[in-house]
Amino acid sequence: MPFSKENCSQLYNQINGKLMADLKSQIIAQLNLQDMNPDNIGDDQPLLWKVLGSTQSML
Amino acid sequence: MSAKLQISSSILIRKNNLIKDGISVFEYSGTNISDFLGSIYIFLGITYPKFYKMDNLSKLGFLATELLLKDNKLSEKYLPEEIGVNLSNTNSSLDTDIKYFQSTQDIASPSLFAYTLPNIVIGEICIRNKIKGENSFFISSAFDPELTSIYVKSLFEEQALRACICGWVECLESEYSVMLMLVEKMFKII
Repeated sequence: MPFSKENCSQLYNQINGKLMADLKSQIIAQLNLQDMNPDNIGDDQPLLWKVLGSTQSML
Repeated sequence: MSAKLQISSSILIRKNNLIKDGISVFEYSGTNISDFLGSIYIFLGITYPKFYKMDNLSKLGFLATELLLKDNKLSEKYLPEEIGVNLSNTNSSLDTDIKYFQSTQDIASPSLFAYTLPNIVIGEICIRNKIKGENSFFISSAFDPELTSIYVKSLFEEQALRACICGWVECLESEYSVMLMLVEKMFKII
């Protein structure tokens, strides 16, 4: 496998990916976001800033 | 002849699971991190008494490197100065810092104090594998693949490295994760 930013990221996501998925599920459950699923939330998408600062927010 | 950097092997450790090159090689059913690390040590058949003196961060990095290099003895291919190490995590050596601070309430522990720096894990890896090349430990809020790839590539270009162990070694209380890569310069005839 070539040594690249993308492959480093892909390997790291394998140890971090489950945690991210769990966190997204918790956010959706706790905020009762019935129209959303974890796939709608990007890994590097700001949450609080977006919610407070823009109508184009996650909410 | 052109040279390309390749990830020749990788190790992942998370949630009681030890994975080499995408294949789970060891799984532990308990919940105690110290027991999990001790089980890996036995599983790998290592005889290295100093292991028992290490803190959990160093044990994680040490064990991951043992498996990473199990069938790839770098010392037979490269000079000590041609092998580097670059690791990173978020919590530095906080796991041991807290334990050391707690020990100071009674009698400060010199054995814990020795591990109150994150780069000690690199020292343990280098001593075990006789590595003398460039080494560094980065602290960041999350693994930065861009920084790692740019930095390691620069080590190959500017420091004449021919192999580098790099990645992520994190440990705080019962939470831990490891992602190690062995990067080598592969030559291809074109």
